[in-house]
Amino acid sequence: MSDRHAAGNRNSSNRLEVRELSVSFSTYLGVVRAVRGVSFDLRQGETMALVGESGSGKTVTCRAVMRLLAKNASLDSGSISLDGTDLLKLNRREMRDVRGNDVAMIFQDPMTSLNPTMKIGRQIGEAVRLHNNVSRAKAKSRALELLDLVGIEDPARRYHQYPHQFSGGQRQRVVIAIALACDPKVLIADEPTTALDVTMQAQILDLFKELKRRTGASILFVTHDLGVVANVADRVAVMYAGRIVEIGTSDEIFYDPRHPYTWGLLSSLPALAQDGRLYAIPGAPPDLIYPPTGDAFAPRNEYALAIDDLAEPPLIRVTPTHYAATWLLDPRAPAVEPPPEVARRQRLYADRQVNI
Amino acid sequence: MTAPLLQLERVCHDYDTESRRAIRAVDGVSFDIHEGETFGLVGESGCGKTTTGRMIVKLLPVTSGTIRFDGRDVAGLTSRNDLMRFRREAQIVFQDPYASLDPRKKVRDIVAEGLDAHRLTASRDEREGLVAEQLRSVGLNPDFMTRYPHEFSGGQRQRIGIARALAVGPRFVVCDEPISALDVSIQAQIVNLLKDLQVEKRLTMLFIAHDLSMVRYVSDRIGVMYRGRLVEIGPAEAVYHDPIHPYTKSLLSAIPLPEPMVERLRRRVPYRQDDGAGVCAMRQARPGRFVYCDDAGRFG
Repeated sequence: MSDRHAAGNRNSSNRLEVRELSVSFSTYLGVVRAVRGVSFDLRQGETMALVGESGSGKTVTCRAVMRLLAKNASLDSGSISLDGTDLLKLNRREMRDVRGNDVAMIFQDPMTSLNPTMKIGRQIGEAVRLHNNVSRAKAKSRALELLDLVGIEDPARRYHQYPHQFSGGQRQRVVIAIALACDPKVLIADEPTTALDVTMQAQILDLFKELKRRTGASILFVTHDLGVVANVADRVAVMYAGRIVEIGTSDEIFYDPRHPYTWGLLSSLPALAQDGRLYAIPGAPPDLIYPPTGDAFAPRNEYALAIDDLAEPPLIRVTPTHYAATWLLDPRAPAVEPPPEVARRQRLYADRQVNI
Repeated sequence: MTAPLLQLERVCHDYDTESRRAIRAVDGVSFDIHEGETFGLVGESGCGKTTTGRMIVKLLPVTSGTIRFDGRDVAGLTSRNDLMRFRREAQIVFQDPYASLDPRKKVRDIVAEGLDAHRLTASRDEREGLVAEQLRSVGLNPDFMTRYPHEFSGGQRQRIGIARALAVGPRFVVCDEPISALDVSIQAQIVNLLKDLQVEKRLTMLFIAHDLSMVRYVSDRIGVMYRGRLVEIGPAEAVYHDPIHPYTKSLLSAIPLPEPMVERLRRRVPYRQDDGAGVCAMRQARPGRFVYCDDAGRFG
């Protein structure tokens, strides 16, 4: 029933396989255990969302895949394999080849990830030429093609403009164009829409879906916005305090969640708020310099069991695609009533299933 | 009904007035906010919502039109006395809790900025006591006052920004996107805090944001801005559930809902201005509901 490795065996449809990844940072206060045994797969052509609050380890997980961690970081254990190659075993040169070519990353802030003194055409062309031995003319035509692909109108004119001549949403499109320069197999997008307003966000989300369809790339999409997740993701991994606490298909996470933290996230959404108060998960995440021995979410969890203080729950299987790290799934646990919002979702889903 | 606390009448703001290419960021905006009311102002980046908020608290001059606060023209407040009084009554909470707190000041001195400027405390003990009280009222431990901003998370920083704004006992507060830089779970905490404080201190608020879903939750009424103009005003729930102006519909269709089954079927509604529209103005479409359109009901 409880099976840590069932989160995915080596499978040919898996592009990226992350196993038992642990990353820590040494700081003047002590060693911060930012990622504590994270395992997941990213399949060919799927979008998986990594959700969680600030400090839950989402960004560190992504940066570990890119091997772009800060100097004080240490990769304590685990493996990250891309199409069977363990990225953690590559030397710097080999890794530089993987970056951009096979895996590309899009950062949160489109204002700071472009060079303000360089025309955008050259910035895209640079990415093309860095990885492919092509002529300037070839690089230019590829850059124009990419601008068109990401939905920038009049590419020939925009090619010669500087970043400040683009709006926030357009700049993010340019950043995406650079990431796509070498047809990466895996695209890691770290909060790519958080700095944008809802109108721009909607357009960028549409662009991601379009790109997935046209390029067949696998996308790891980091966000803390569940609305965005519902829009783009095929599968969802919920992170808390450096661990994946629940993973499943989008429908499983939104309509039949099993982890109390996921319950809390879904209950605090404003779009569904009734009159009165918004639900807010009480307390704050734990200090990862001293990770708790038991379930890290227990102090904030009204459904916590006595065992949560003693032992950290493993990912327990709900369905072949759905796992949650909570002792509530243990056969010995008492049955609990999920919060009203979650119960509403379960009913909604059950009704919909019947109708279909 | 008593006179509104805040009245905007055909307010405009131009940036770059010196150059020949002045940019009209706010174009003839009129609305009222009554005492004790929360008015939400929404729209996309560059629609003029922040400029409007900043004009109201006199951080930006009004190019034309009038803003009346408690019956007095804000532009006419030029004497030191008038300005000091106005600044005690109208405060602002800024968007970015990372940029709006001086990193070299301790929390105590940040929260006391207004108290000091207005010489509201007679002794150090009194100052300390007031700061502690403010920190408690925003849900922070008073012991935090000896720390520096970098030691706090985004949500905690925003609480400090709120404590600073409320320390001088304002009647009116502009909240300029106070939650858009925060995590979703923290957003709920800050929104609840603002709602509590509003009731407790009987505040009147202007709440600026780009996302209608949070705004409708805190606001009594909502104004939607597009390209410097107000295009729709109405009660929050009505605007959210039953928008009239096509731009409001478009804005609502851009908010992703946390429901995969709904999202799969959803289509965004793009907005295009009706070129055939005549002279447009705010007109009452239904009781209490105003939209910007011409006399034939076309939206320009």
